[in-house]
Amino acid sequence: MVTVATFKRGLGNGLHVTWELAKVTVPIYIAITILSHTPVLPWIADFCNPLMRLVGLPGEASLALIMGYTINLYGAIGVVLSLDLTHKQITIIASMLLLSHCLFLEAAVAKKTGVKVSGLVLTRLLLSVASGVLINWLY
Amino acid sequence: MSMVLILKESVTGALLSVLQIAAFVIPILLFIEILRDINILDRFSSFCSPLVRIFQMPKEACLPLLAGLIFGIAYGAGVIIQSVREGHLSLRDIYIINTFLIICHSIIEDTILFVAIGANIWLILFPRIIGAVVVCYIISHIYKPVEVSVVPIPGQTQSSDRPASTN
Repeated sequence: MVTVATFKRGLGNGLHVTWELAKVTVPIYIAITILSHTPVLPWIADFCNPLMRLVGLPGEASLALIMGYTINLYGAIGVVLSLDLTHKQITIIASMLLLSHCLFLEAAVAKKTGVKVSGLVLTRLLLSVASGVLINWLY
Repeated sequence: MSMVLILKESVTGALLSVLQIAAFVIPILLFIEILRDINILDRFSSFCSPLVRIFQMPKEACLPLLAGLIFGIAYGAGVIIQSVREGHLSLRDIYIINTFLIICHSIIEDTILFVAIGANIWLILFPRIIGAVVVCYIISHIYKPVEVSVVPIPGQTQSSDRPASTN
């Protein structure tokens, strides 16, 4: 039944997620913005460009993918926000990240239910790249 | 550009972005809590049974699938463990449910995060759902359900397909 408690809990969860997001997103956004004014970010971008071109993203966006795959979506969002991406590029990276994120943590959760997870992780990564290529091609 | 100016601009940019995301996330999480309190899982169970049937799973697979899909993978895993204890799911069912959920979970909350920063909702929602359905469909055909034998095998009360113990 929906009561006042429902609203309290819902708002509480909302504020909690916003806080968790801010804690990760804000420092990463600032760090990447500063890095973009140093030679470091262009260097990473050049290095990753050939691979990232497959999914229609600039080389810098590789940082968002790495952050999302290993740590969490909030870190990845911090990177995405700090880069100047187009609507299409945000959609591509969002789809890639949604299919594949927090790989270690979520694999550990799945493992608790008693299944082997290495195949699942590989499947996620393949789907992630496939969706990137596909949206880049179709959009 | 001076370092101070860069810092100032990035702090304002970051905080504005967080506010923008909060404007989407807070109402959506409130909505999810309302879904929880109107017992959406029970209401949707019947709606979900055709989906589990194409994967040749029992209707008991619906609850963990829906739980993970709406409330997140951790919640889904909790429900899976509970269902296994009650003996409703085989190892095959658990594998397929996990595959589905690891590809496609918390679809309301995760999707809205990226919609808030400007992604196209349909193009980020459909690849996940289609990906999960296709992969699970393939697995369900490779990994056939074990036929339940009519005559019980002596000395073996439980099908070997079921996990001996959980945790």
